[in-house]
Amino acid sequence: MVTTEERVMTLLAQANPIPDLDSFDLIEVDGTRYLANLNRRSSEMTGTDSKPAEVVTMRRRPLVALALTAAAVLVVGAAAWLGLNREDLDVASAGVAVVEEFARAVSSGATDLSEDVTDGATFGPMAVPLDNDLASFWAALDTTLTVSNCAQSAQVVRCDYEWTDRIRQAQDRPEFGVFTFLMDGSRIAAISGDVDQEASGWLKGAATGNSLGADADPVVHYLAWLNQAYPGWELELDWNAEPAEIGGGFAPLGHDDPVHNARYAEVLTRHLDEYAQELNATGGLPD
Amino acid sequence: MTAGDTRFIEVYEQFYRHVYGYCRRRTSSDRVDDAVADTFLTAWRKIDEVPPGDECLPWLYGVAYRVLSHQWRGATRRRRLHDRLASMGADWHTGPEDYIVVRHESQQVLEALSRLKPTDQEILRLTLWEELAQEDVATALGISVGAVRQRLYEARKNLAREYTRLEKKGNRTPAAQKGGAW
Repeated sequence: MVTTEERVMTLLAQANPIPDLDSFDLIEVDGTRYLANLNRRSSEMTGTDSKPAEVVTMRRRPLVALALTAAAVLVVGAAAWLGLNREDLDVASAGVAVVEEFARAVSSGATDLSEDVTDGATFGPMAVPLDNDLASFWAALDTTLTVSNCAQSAQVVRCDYEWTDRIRQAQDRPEFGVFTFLMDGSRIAAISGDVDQEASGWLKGAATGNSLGADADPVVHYLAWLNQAYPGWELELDWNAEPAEIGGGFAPLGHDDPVHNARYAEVLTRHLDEYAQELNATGGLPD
Repeated sequence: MTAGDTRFIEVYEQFYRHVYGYCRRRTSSDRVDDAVADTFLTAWRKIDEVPPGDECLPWLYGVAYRVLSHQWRGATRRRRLHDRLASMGADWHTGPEDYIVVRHESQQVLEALSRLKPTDQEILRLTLWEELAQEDVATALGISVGAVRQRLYEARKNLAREYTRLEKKGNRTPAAQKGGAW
């Protein structure tokens, strides 16, 4: 007698959309030509063979949003971890101002970060003041970070693998990449990340206490929330840093890559512009 | 040509079809080429890390899984399971009556699948669709064989439970993908 479990497994096997690969007329598989194409594009892009153009052209997602969201996951995750009252994290119009400031910085060409932020010692020139009040948060977050296994120097906390792993385990999302998040007591640098859009939905809910609709933008809400969470701090953003490479790791592209910088700026500007249009259409951020 | 180049060509030519099939089973046809390209781009960049022998294909599946995860993230808000179902070919069943029955069951079992944890979904797909051994599933997902064994055991039970639940409810609506809670 066939059990339900066996029957369902059989059904799932039958539900294989492509049971027979041979039924597909695939392109001619020519590795030599494909490799030559990769090398050619790489040379066209950077003048070297270290980075194929496809890396950039295939990144159609707003990478900065991901980096920001990555940091947000850490921050909000810490808040959730600590059981902070999310209703206190009120999103107000100040958040829009932060975004506008950010957009201005982008449009002014502040995309050339001369320092390598990945060493945890320096920050780029891009800074957005944070001026709202939620003073108790940092102390709680600081404690949380300290008790984790993050590498910690005198001034800077670097948090990447440990938190990623914790979130992976807590959320059962092993596909999460690594993110890095730097703090030095007065500044935050969202360096790199690789978290999903679902995280942004969770983030928005956490940050606002509201369901903002599936298409609301994570960047604005994160910035708005962060603006209140870190009074007196500066938020620094590095859109030169790649989201974590597939398979893990952290791979900044190199801050002197103008093509990549321009790409980030383009994506971010468009992203913010789209969100501005959405705000106009919906009457602004919810209270 | 470097040793890495030679190795990449071997990997590409040997496994392109497998990776294509893997991606095609999990995403819509208009996204497959990008996913496959991203997967082999990663292999090219990390050619020194690509394991030899039997571990190579599971490693590529693992990369493809992460690539597709990026796609799924971005698409979660817009795309639902029925998109994937709609892209399923109908030429693997004969008569229309058979097709309707099987398609409904397929929808239902895929909906039940979508209610499981993402990793458990992938363990089941790798096991049934790619026909990987547990050791290879472990390689693909970067978890231990013991974890695969345990999770497969649980996933089978959970899938049956969800399927039964859907049967009882007579639920014919397309699946709403998990998401939003995180």
